Amino acid sequence: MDELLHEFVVESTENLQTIDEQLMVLERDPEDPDALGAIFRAMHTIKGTAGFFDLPRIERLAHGAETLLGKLRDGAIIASVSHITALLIVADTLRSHLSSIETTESESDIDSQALLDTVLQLCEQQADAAAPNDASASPQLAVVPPPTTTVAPDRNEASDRNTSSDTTIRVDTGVLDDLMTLMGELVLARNELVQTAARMNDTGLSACTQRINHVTSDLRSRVVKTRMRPVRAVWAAIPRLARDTAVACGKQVSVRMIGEDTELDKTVLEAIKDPLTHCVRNSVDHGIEDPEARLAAGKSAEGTVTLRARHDNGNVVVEISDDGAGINVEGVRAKALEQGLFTETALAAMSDRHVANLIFAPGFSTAATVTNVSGRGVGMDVVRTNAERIGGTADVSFVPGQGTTFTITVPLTLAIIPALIVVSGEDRFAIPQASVLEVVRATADGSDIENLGGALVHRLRGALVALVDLRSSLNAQPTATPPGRTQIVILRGTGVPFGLIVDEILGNEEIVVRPLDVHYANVDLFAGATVMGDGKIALILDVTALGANASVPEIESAANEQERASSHSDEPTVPVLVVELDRDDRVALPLHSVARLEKFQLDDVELTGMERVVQYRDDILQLLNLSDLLGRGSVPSDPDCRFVVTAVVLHEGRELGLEVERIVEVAEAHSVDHNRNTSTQTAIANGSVIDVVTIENLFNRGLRILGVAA
Amino acid sequence: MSAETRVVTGGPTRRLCTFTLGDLLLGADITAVEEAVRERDITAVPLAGPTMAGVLNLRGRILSVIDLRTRLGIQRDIDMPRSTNGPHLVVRTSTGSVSLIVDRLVGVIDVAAESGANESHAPAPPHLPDQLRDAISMVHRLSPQLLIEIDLERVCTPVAV
Repeated sequence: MDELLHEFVVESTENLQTIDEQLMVLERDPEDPDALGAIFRAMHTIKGTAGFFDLPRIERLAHGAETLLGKLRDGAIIASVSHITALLIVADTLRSHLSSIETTESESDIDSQALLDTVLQLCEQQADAAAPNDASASPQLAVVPPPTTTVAPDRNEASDRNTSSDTTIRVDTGVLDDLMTLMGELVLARNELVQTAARMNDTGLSACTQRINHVTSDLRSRVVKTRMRPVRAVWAAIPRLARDTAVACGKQVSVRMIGEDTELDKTVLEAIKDPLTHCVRNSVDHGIEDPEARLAAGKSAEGTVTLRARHDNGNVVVEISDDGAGINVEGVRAKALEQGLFTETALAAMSDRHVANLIFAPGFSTAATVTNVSGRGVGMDVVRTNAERIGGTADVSFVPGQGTTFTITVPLTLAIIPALIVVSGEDRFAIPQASVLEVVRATADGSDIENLGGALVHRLRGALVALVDLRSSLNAQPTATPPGRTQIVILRGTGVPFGLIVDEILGNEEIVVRPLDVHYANVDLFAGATVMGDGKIALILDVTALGANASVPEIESAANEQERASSHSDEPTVPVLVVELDRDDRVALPLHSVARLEKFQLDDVELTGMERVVQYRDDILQLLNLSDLLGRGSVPSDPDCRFVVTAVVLHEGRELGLEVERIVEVAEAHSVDHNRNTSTQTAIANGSVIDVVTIENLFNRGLRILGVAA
Repeated sequence: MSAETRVVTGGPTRRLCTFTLGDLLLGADITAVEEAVRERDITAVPLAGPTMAGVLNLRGRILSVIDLRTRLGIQRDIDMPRSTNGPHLVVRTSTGSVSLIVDRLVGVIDVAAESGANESHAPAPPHLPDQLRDAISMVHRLSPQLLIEIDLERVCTPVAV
């Protein structure tokens, strides 16, 4: 396309944006002279340039709008909702002309005569009404704006523009992208140079390297800055969006913005555009109540949507909050049940906040009817998907009756990010720092890592955290021997945090993110690759995929069921550990009395008199065969078995090791009988009957067997 | 790479960059070859399937590496481990640049540009593995040997695992 014409499209699009924004201001204060002036100038520029390019439709429409604006600015008529709506429609029509020009180089063939008539009619009607008060505002004069009043602002505008064009230039974003790529290469070359120079031990080279090092760091921060844009760039469209949505659902809404100067990378900014739109629509449509309901609740008739943005630790946090009724959790529960997303018990177990987050599930919508605005069930899942695609998160919280807050957290920039470098096997991997919550060292004997029914877990300050072994995720040979020294990186992927078992942590490094090409498109475990200081490549782990691969949610639901057991006392269920004594003989241990699960080497089991003991945690732990203890008969032990699988149970400060054949799973048991004097109680877990061992009774019997007075 | 050049007499010619895999002589159109590099450190990409050897760093660019032997189904000699080492041929395809691991780079050979049946072209030998057969764009008759020209686009199209 002709370069000049292209510039016209870009410039006019910006002008239309200004018009939209200022019309919103005008709607609050119909006589704001600054807003009127700005709108008028923007429209005038569009009209003038369109004339230059011979675009008659745009010119005529802009001219009509300018006529109306002239009257408004002169105070001949006061802007009402109908004026503003008409002007907004004009802006939209101009926009469709512009996009048509961009693709076909000619104006769109929309018939805007009716619109033009409406605009002119609006001038006439109100001008007539205003005429008796203001003789100077005759229709004749108003069509051509009085030169005296237009010249002054135009001159201001011209001088403003001169100063800004002296200090700013338009740069194609492709150039900025190239610059960033080259910058990445420079950073890598610098890293290599620094390492090489350190080996050479040459004074002159060291000094020079030092300078290059500093300059590169400075340059990097500047180049990153060229890609930064204030969040205002996407927020600008929000007031208009909120207004349109509010009008469509008969509500009154105003928009407040805090931190609109917060800057973030262009790519990130584009990625949050859609999520932002969906959140605001949701807030207006579902969050904010009808004016009557608001008045009844003692609030002002007009609802407020507040946008907040701030930097937080290399991330940008964008919050969209409203002062509406909050989220109807029961409605969400009912809908989730109806759509078969979860079972009734699972839903009952979830915290309200957890339930609220279900609105991000694909296809979820609570709207009773499908409206123009929302209710089609595509929307909120876009928010979470888009945020996660660029390594961010989306969350929702609410206070009943007071409002809902959506929080979108995204990384500041995508190209160069801080990352934690870890080692698994022979290879190094990078984990984006934004997803790392903390690093936990697992003790040498591996007792920090428990195996619950095939799933590895770690107890982090009392909470169960599902673990993912990076080696097995990568299909490398699994850590056959108990790992001598491992580290657990606690990561925040989708939803619940999980732990990643790695061999070693190397530290933090700024890495340049490079995508993997199409040949690796089928491997979703990696978000890209980066070149390290020594020239070797490290793969960047995709935290969300890691979490999903390791089926963390199953553990999550187990954890939820525990939560339910503790929070819903009316439902007498207990989490139990199901163990196998013999092939088909299973019993359950109450989970609260299970301290740890251990696998002892048979060689470590010692015999002292009649007791079988192991040295355990600087103490002596007695081992008892659970099958013997319950009188279920001794299981002939497999002579090849080198291990004793043991559940360490705790009762009144004493520990006892119970030998079992196999640990099966954690389940939820409904107690059937409550007799504490028998060794077991009958319960139902996972739909089948199972004996739950009474730990108190067991201890007594166990100690008696051991010849100790109970 | 040795600068060995063999000239086919008569008619217009095309140049192939040639290499060996086992006892086969293969070639790729030189216009698609970016460069030939010595063996490099390759970083394996787990879960990516057997034909992909990993990624390598070529002056800051990250290139996918195709294990050409596996891709073409050419058996390895018994004593030869699955090589992630060997010289590379960096080629340009419609999906970007890719690096191919070969056994040995031979050199540039001129072949007759005309396609179609004439005495400088030969049918594909019957004993070739299917993967290789599918990747052949043409077989050139050199004395004493056949030169199998491979279709880079086909070879470098990602294979579903």
